Amino acid sequence: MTDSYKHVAEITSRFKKSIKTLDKGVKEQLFIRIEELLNGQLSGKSLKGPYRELKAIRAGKYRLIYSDKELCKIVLYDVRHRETAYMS
Amino acid sequence: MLSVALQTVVPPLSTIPTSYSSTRLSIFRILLEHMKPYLECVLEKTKDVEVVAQELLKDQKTLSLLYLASQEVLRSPQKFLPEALNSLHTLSKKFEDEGIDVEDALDIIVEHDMWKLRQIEGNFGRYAEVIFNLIINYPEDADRYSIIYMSVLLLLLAINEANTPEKLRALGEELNRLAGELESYTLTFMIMIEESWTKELNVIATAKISEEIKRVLGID
Repeated sequence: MTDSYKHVAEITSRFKKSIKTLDKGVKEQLFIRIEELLNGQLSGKSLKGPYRELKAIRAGKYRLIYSDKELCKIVLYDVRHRETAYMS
Repeated sequence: MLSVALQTVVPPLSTIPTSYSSTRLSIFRILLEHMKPYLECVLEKTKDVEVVAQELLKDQKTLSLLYLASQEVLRSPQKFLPEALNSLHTLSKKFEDEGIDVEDALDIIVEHDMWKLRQIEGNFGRYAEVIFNLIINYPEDADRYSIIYMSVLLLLLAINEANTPEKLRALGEELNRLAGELESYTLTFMIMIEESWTKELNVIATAKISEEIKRVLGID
């Protein structure tokens, strides 16, 4: 029997769509970050303006956008690729 | 508030340092002369870069020159951008030689500027709406953006003048700190500009244990 996380994850349709085409390695990186979030071991940086209640954390070359404004709940909104081809 | 608006529509500022060194255009030389006292302050007291940036944002003459210089960049980005990227690689190497890692910070700055350039070139109406929304409805965040962006420019310019490892280290630390905050603005703008972003935020599942998250991710 697996232990429950500290927080419950809520999955949005946008999140589901955003991970659809990601390869397994990226998904595994995301899984680690999501687990850290759900266990309360990690907190991201707040976005600004109208989205200041959202936060973002990095998972390799991707960013996970989520919200933790509600008690004991993490809403997973989106995963976006960092556009980093310029310097590398 | 004008300075905030000006800052948010100015095209890639990270290309400006390159322009100083590579162009014979007098606008960049004049701008550099006006920036010099600010750069000296940044080199002297790097941790106060945001205070210096705030002073610069009140200097309408220098801001106007900056705007004109960045319009020159916007007029022919294909001329400035490759040089700018080379220049940033050189800056990165300068730090690397001293054992200071700023590659991620430079990546974030370039990502921000390139995204901004694409919006100004190809999606200006929507981009202007987003910026207008930020200025009108979230003036504190718009002000903060302006300070961060100007601070980053000052740091990039000051790097060329840094002649000791200590000064370089101080500049690198500030660059890393500010890049983290700039990244939050990049993401915010990216989401704000996508009108459909808020349309698919309905919750379709919940997960309380590892197996459920794995199933959602498709790695079970």
